[in-house]
Amino acid sequence: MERKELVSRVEEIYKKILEVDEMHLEDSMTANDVEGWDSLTHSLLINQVQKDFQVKFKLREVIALKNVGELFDLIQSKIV
Amino acid sequence: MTKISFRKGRQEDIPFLVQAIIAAEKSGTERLSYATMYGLKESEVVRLLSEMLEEEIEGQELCFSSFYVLESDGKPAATMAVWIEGEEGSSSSLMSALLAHYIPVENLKKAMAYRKVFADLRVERTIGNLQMEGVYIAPEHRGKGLLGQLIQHITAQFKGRTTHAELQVDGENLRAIKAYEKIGFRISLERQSDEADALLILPSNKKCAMTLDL
Repeated sequence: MERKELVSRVEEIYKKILEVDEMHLEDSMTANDVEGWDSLTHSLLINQVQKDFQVKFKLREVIALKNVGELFDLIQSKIV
Repeated sequence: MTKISFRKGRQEDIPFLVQAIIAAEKSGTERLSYATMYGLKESEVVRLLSEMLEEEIEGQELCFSSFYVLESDGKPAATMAVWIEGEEGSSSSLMSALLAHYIPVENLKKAMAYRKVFADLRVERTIGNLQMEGVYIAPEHRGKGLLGQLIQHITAQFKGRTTHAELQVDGENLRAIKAYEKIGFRISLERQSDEADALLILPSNKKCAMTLDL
């Protein structure tokens, strides 16, 4: 999958979970950069990403995520 | 004479550690936030916490090796989880990763109703400070000064790596606050939620952060 398409699908998930109309994600972004992205919504985001892309993350992989870019990489590595 | 010894948590401690986490979270009340906010039974919380503790990932608060155990005559009598905030990557994401992994999504969604309460009471952990969580003294061992002994032992292990220890305590748990003050902790921050839901899910609507100079 093209990274652009992947990012766009993840942005749609963020919009739905965080209940916002606009969402532009960049690789370096973290929870501190996005209003409403707390530990609870993060849990739901991770859940929804796995469901939407039909992938399963290991706990260690999720814990190691440092920013949005690493989440994109993780999804990409699972769907190849 | 009672023999006191200290060691790191082990796999066989998990039932004791789960008991500690639950007692610390209830803070002397019957309200267990992990159950109330996610709509889970206490028995389900016990099972989930046990599974989380089995996951041995160094640096995350919910693994058995993050705990120190004080033994009295060879039996666990007191414990707490400790870690240095930020030392093992993004610790703020740890709990949510664990939640996402272990708690069913429909239960996570139930907790969304209480986000305002948790935002009101949120206390940022200070990067580089030693964090203390799940502090527990078994009821039959209270009033013997074990809390001070355990904290003294732990802070000695972390000497040179950090300058402050910090913990969070229910703002209405005056007995615990006094016990920490006696050891040298001072209240560094107080939070309160005026949401009516706070008292349905938490021991109280107040939270304090306490800090100890090492």
